[in-house]
Amino acid sequence: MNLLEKIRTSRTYCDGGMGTLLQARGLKPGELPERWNLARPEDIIGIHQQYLEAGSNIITANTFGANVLKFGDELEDIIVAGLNNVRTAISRLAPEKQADRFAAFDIGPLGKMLQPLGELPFEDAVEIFAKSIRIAARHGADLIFIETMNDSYEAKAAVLAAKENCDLPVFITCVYDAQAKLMTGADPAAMVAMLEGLGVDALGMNCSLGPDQMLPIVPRLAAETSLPLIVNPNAGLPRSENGKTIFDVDAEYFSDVMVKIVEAGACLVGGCCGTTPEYIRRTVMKTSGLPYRLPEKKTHTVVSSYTHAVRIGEEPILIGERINPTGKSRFKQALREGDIDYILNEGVRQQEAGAHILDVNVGLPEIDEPAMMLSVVRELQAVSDLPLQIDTVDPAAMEKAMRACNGKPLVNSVNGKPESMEAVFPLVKKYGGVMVALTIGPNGIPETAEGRYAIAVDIVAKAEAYGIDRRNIVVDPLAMAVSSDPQSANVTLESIRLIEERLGVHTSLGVSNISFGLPNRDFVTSTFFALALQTGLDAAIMNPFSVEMMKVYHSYRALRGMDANCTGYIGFASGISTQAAAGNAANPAVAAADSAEPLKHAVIKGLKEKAGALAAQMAAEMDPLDVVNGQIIPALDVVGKGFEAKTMFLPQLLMSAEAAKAAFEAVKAAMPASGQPSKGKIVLATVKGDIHDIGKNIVRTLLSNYGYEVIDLGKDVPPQKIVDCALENDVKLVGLSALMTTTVPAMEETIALLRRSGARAKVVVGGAVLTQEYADMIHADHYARDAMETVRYAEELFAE
Amino acid sequence: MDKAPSLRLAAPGELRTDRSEALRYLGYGKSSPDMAVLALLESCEKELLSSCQGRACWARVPVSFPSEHSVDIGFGPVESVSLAKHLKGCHSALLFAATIGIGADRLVVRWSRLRPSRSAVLDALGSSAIECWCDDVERELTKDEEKHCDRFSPGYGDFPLHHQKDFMHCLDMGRLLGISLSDSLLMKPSKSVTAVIGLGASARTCGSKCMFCEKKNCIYREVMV
Repeated sequence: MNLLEKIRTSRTYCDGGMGTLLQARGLKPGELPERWNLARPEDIIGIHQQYLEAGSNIITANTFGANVLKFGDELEDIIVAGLNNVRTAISRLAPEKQADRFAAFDIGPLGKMLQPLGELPFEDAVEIFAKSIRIAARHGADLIFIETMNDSYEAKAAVLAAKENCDLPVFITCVYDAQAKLMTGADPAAMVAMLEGLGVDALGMNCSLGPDQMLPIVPRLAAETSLPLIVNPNAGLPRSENGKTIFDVDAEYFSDVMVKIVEAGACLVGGCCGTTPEYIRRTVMKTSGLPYRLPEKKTHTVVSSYTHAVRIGEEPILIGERINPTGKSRFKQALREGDIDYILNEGVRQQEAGAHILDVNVGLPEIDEPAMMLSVVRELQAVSDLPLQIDTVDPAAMEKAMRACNGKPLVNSVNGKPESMEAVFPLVKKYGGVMVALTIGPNGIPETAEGRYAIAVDIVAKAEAYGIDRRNIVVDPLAMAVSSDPQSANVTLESIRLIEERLGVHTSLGVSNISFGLPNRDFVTSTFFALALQTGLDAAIMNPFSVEMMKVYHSYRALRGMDANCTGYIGFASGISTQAAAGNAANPAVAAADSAEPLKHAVIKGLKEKAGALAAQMAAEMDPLDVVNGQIIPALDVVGKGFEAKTMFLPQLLMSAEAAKAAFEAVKAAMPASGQPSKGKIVLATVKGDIHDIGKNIVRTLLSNYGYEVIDLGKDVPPQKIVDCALENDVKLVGLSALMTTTVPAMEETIALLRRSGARAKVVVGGAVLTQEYADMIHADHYARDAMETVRYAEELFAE
Repeated sequence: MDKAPSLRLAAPGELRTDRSEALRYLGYGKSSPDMAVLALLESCEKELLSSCQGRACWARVPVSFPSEHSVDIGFGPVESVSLAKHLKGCHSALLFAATIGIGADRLVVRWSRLRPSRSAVLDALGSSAIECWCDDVERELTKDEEKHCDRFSPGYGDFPLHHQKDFMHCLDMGRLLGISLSDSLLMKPSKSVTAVIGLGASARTCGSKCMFCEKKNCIYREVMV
C-alpha cells in the first residue's frame, strides 16, 4: 500500500526517540548524532530494527540536523547514509513483515532564528531546507518528515522547500507548549490553517510535552484539521535524580495515555525524546485494535497570522481598509518616500481600533509595487499579529506577499474573468489562502442580483475543479454608489442573500463605496453596513476609525446575542463617552494650567496626542516653520540638555521625541510638500555582523526630529552598501553603530572603505562597546557616547 | 557529562521583573522616575509578562583543573583564567541556561518602529525579568548545596563566548528552551542566559555580577553600598 493510502485507511505508527539511545551507546556531548550514520551505521540500523520490531511503520532517518549549515560538503553523504540505514533495517525484516514500512527523511529546525526576530532571511531558510530535501528525494526517501518546528515561519519555509523540490508526501509536526502555543506564538488553529493551505499531507505535534500535557491539545487540532493527525509526545520531562536522567513517564503509563490520545483523534502516533522501542511496542499493542477514523472534513473558512486564526462566517469580521493610497495624499506621499513607519502605524492603529484583519494595498503607478508589497508585508508582520488581506491586481505583487505571509492570508481579489482566475488560482493552490471573489464577469458587473450570483457560481465551480475548496472562497458582490443608482444597495443585499443561502459560500464587501458622492458618507455607509450584516454579510472592508461604523458593529453584536453581557459594547461605548469628555476639557486645561507655551510643554513632557493636536492648531494660525523653530526644536533642546545633565533619562528623551514627531506630522500636514525643511541627509547603519539596532533606532528618531533626512540602512549592513549609499546621496555624515567587540572590525573596515572611495562624509560611531580610544583606533571622526551627542555633532557639522 | 539535562518551566504568573534593575539599565542611577515614566513602566510590565514564557534547564557536571589557566566543566578544557579563578575550590558545577522566550523580542521589535520609548523600557524590563528568573531557579537548585558560586557566563572576563556552542550541545538548548545561536554567538530569544554555577565547600561568592567585570567605567555598573 502506498503511504497516503495507508494513513487514510489504517493507523500508522511512527518511531520514538533517538538521542537518548545514542547517548547510551556512547555518543559524546557535542558530537553530532548524524555523523554516526557513516561512523557507526550498525548502531543506527540496530535502533531502527528495534523500532520496526516494535511495530513502527514510519522510520525516520537519523537526519534531524542534516542541513548545509551544519554539514557543508558532507551533507549528501550524511543524508544518503541515513536513508540507507533505514532501508537496510527494513530489508532485514522477514519479507512478510516488510510491507507498510516507510523510510522518512527527517528534518528539524535549522538552529537559526528567522527574520525579523533573528537574522536568517526567509528565502535563505527555504533554500537551506531545499538543498537537503533534493538530496533526500534523489536517494529514495518515501516521505519528508518535518519535525520539532517551534516557529511558524520556519515551518512554512520547510514545507515550501519540500513542495517545490519533490513530489513526496510531506508530514509536519510542531512543538506546542503547555499553553498550546508554538514558541513564536501560533496556536493550533493558526498552524492548521497555514499548513493545510500549503498542502501538507499530515500534521500534528511532537516533543517538549509528555502525553498528559499533549492530550488536551489533540482535540483542538482535531477540531481544525481535515488531515490525518500525528502525535509524538516525549516520555514526559527529563530530570536528574541521584545523578541519573529520569523521564517521568514510563512505557506503561505512556502507552495508557496514548490510548486516550488515539481516542481523542490522533491517527499517526509514536514518540519523541526519552521514548524507546518499548514505549512504541506497548502503544502499538494497546491501540492497534481501536477503531480508526480520520478527522471529519472541515468546512469553516479561516485565515491566520503567526499567532491566531480568524474564522469568517461566524461573527462579523472587520477588515481594516486604511492601508490603501486611494484618495489619501498623505499615504501616497509615504509610499513615494518609502516611509514605512507611517504605513505600519496605520496598521497598528487599526488593530487598536478593533480591526480583525488588515487589508494591504500599496498600488501606485509610480512605485515598484511587488517590492513595496513585499517590504510592507514583512514589516507589518513585525508590528501586528493580525491576519492580512493581500489587496492587489498585480500577480507578481500578490505572489511575493503570499510567499512572505507568515500565515494564511485573504487574497483580494479574483473575479469571473478567465485571465483573473488563471492568475490567482495557482497562487492560492500553492501558498494557501482565502480568495475574495468579485462578481465581475467578462462583460462587467451584472446589474441584477441573479447575474452576480451566477458569476459567483461560476467562480466557485471553476475553483473546485482546480482543486480549491469552496470554503477558501468568500464572494464580494460589490457595492456601487447609491447616489448614481437608487437600486444599487438593494441589488447588493439581494446578492448577499442568494450567495449565502443557495451557494453556501461566505461573503465580504467593501462597504464604503455605497456612499460615494454623498455628504457625511459615514451615515449612509454605516446604515448600509447594518443592513448587510442583517442580510448575512460575514466580513466588511471598512474604516475602523469611523465611530459610526464601530457603533453599528458593536450594537449589532449586542443585539444579535454575540456579545455576552454586552461586554464588548459597554467597553466600546464607555470609551466613546470618556473620549468626548476629554476632548471637551482638553484645550482650556492646556492653556490655563501648563504654561504660556503649551506645545513646548507638551513636547517636553512627552504628551504625544496633546502635542499633535496643539501643533495642528498652531500651524493653522501661524507660519508652520515658526511652530517648528519656536516651539518644537526649543523643547527638544530642553530635553536634550536635561538628558546630558542626567536630570532626564532615556524614556523621557524618547517620549519627548515621539511627541515631537506627532507635532511634526501635524505641521507637515499644514505645509506644502515643497516647503518642508531638511537640514541634510545622514546615513545610519548597524555594521556587518551586528544585529543590534535599538541604539541606532534611537539615534534615527532624534536626528529626524532635528530635521535631518535619515537614510537608515538597517542592521548587519555590508561595508560596500554603506559606501555606495553615502556616495550616491553625497551625504555629509555617516553614523555607524556596533554593540559587540566582535563587530568593531567591521566598523573599521567600513570606515577604511569610505575613505578610499573618496566620499566626503564624516563618520560618527557609537554603541555599547565603543570608547573614545576604540573610535580613534578605527579612525572615526567622532565618538558619540549617546544619541544626543550624535545630534550635537550633526548640528555642529551641518552648521559649517 | 553523560546525562541529559533537566528542564523546568515557569508556572503561570511566576515570572517577575525588577523595576529598580530596569531603571538602572535605562540609565537612572540613583534618580527616581517621574509619574509618566512610572506609568509607562507599569503598562510595559503588564504587556511583557503576559507574553513571556520562562524555561530553564541544567545539568550537573564534575569540575577539574587541567592547568592553572584552564578548567574542565564537562565539555573539555576551557582556557580562561577568570573562570578557573572563579571556580577555584569547586568539585562540581551546574551548567545552566534559561530564557523568558521570544515574546520579549517581538515586543521590542514591534515598538521600536512605533514607540521607541516603549521599546527601550520593554527591553530593560525584559533584561530584569530574565535575571529574576535565573535568580529564582538558581536559588531553588542550590538550596540543598553546602555552598555555591555566583553565576558566571561566557563573555564574562576571559571566558570565551564561543563556549556558547558547548552550552547549546550539552544542555540541548535548542530543543528544551527554543534557543538558537547567531553567527556572532548571541542567543535568540535575546533574553536568555547561559552560566556556570560552581558547587563545593570552598565555593566563593562576591555579591554582585558587576564585580567580575573589568569594565570599571561602565555606566551600568552596579553601585555597591
